[in-house]
Amino acid sequence: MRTSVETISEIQVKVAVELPAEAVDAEYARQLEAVGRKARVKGFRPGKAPRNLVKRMFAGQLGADTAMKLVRETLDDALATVDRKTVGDPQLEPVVAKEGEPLTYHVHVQVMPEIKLANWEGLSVTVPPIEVDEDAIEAEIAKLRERHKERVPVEDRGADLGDIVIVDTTGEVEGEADDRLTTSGMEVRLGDEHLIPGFGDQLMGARSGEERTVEVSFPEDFRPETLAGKSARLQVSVTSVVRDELPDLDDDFAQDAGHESMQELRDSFAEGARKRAETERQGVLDRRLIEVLLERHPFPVPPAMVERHFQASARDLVQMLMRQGFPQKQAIDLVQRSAGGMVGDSERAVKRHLALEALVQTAQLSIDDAELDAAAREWLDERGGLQHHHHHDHDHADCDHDHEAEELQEAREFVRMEKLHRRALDLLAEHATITEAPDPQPTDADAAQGDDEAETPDDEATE
Amino acid sequence: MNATTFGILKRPVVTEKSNRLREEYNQFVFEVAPAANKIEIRAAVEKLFNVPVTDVKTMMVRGRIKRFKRGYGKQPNWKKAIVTVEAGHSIDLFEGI
Repeated sequence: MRTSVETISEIQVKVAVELPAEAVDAEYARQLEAVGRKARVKGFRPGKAPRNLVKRMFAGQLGADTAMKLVRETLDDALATVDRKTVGDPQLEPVVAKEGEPLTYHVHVQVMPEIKLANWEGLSVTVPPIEVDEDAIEAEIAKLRERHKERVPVEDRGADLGDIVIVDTTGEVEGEADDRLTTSGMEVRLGDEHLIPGFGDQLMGARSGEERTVEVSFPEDFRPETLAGKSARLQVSVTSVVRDELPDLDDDFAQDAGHESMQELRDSFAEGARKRAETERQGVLDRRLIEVLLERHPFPVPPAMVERHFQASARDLVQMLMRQGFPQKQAIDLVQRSAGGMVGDSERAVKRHLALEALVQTAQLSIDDAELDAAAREWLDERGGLQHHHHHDHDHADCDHDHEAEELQEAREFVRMEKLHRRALDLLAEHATITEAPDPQPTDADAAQGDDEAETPDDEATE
Repeated sequence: MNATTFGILKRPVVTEKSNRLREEYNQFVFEVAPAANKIEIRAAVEKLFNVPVTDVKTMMVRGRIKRFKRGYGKQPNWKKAIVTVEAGHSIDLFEGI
């Protein structure tokens, strides 16, 4: 077998493979045998036709099958001669084998671009400073308070604005008894704007155990329409009067919420907010560093890589939607409609990945095996440990590959990527000029780059 | 019967049996014009293929009755000739299979 590699572009290569005539003839003969044994030729019982005749009648098929078989057998070896890493499925030009002649075929395949990062030091980026929003913290505390509110009976006075009156009612609409006005245990918050006009007012001052008669007029736009505009009289029987009380902001409240004191609660919230701000800033910093890096070192991206990333993302998204209750068809449909945007995201993600990998190579970053191993196991443990043969559709006895080892290897690759990419980004930041200045306004680029980070950013802000 | 040389032999017969006859006895089977006789057949073969013929045997074959959606149909009867060619000679038509 003789091969030659022709470069078509930075990301595509054409391999020409030539196989000797002897190999062709040998395979051809084999195909002829195989076909001959089953061939149906008029005038002959199946398989009884003389070979020469079969050869003449099935020449086309024989040529094609021989070629395909030979290609299949030699393709892997042929692709191995390409010195760069290949991406995606190779595309074969159609080819037919002829008896007595050597076979030549051509394959197109995408390859990883060669990326030379000559200029990765001294990048210049701007990031907004970290701001901790006091108001946001207070709002969170208020929400927490709301969650811990208690219902307290009102005994010493009549119902007032803000109290909740719990009642049973019966009534008649325009003189006729009506079941729709019959309720039990209804909660009426006095002062609520959603109440029917007048209803609340007539219950002011009520006490538990009271009976009152109330007259109301349903507004014109009331639902159900059959009651709109009508007037009614209700017999209201007050079961109880209560009010929701928000807890005071004191240490007891803090303890109910799982903290030791109000101060500790505030500190904890502040810390959380600060961490979130830092994480966001780190994300912005990372994104911008990559942006500038890519501007300085443009390179083409193999479409096969983008496609693979996109397919995986799309599948994940469909799964997630289904877990949230969407039926499969709907989930697929939704994802298809947002496909356009997702392809762009995938392309950015792949570029980012390639750039960081290149940087790792250039700066010769590495992790030693022991550390990697330990980290990989830890990562797996966090996610439920090694999956002991969950996806097994054959007996353990027949299993010829070690699932555990494979899983561990996958984990190692992933962790290696995460850690080294993180170090690469930190390296970029160290050698970059970072200016802190507020963003003029949200740029479209920032808004578009949502979650295409393939790694979890560290919490340490770099300066 | 006065027929042309070219109208006599209609087509070669290619079957398991005809193959065997060819391989074992150097005999070649043809479908011929139903009105042709052995003399004419011999002459036609010798003329068209330049081979000496030592024997000709003929027979009539009844056409098959085949059933179609709309009833029955009968294929035409035809005449089959087995031509023995002198040893050493052959007829290329049969692709030297």
